[in-house]
Amino acid sequence: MHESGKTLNNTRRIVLTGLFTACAFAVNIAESAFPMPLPGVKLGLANAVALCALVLLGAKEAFIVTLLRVFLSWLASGNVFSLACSLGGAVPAVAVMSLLYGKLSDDLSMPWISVAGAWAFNAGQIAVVSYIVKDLRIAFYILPLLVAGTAAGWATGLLAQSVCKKLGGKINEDIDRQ
Amino acid sequence: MKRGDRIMALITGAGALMMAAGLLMRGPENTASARTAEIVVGGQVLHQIALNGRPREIRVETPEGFNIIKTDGRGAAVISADCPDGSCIRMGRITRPGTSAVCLPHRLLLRIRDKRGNGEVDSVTW
Repeated sequence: MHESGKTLNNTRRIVLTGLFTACAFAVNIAESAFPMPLPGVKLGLANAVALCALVLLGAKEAFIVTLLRVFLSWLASGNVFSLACSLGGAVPAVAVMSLLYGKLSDDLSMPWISVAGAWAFNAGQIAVVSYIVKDLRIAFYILPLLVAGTAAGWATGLLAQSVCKKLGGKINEDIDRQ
Repeated sequence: MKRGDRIMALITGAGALMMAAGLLMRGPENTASARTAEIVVGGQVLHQIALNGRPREIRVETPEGFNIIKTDGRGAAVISADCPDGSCIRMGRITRPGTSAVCLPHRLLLRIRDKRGNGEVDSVTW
């Protein structure tokens, strides 16, 4: 929509991706300061940022934002098992959300796409955790996680939707999608 | 509401109903039977402690750090650890056979088993 050349456009994308990454990292750190009733239960605000990146920039950028955010958090915690746990949750979540948004965005509204991402997050994370501690029965812990994940996913999806509307226009228009 | 939204809402509703049914069918907490707390690090069982009422505190050193586990007649809990997230401590005391508390950074698992050696699959803490 702008007359700007491709180089400027690329620069703009890189800057926006960096901004989203910084934002995701910041909310990730901030929300880890809030005590949660059960381990593994969290609001997942970083996933909301990834969903915004997915809608406003594209699937590739959403993956970049998520991967960079996970590795930045790893620098903060420094534990390789925590890294595996974060990756095991965040990567399936972004993959599912990208797929659903890419294929079914006419049929699914953002809160439900976010809920599906939360489910993928819970499933991936519990799989990684039960593999790391070598105990399959941990997998039953997915039930309380799914309950919390559905609520949290819905809330963050709603948040992401309103952010995308503010940034991208009335119909979730892309601010910079190729 | 879009078509896919309705499908997703239906899946969520069905899942919620199934979980509610599972919660209702769950038996009363059985602390009378003989239970053991197991401490597992990296897939290896390090300690097996009978939950027979005598309080015990065990300090476990893992390659990544330490955890202190307290057991008594009611259950077992991780009461202290030097891991960055502390989720094993937030899990609180676990009592039912089949439940566990995980310290992921240390690859440590604390789980309750009953006398048969297996946790009942129905028992999940929420």
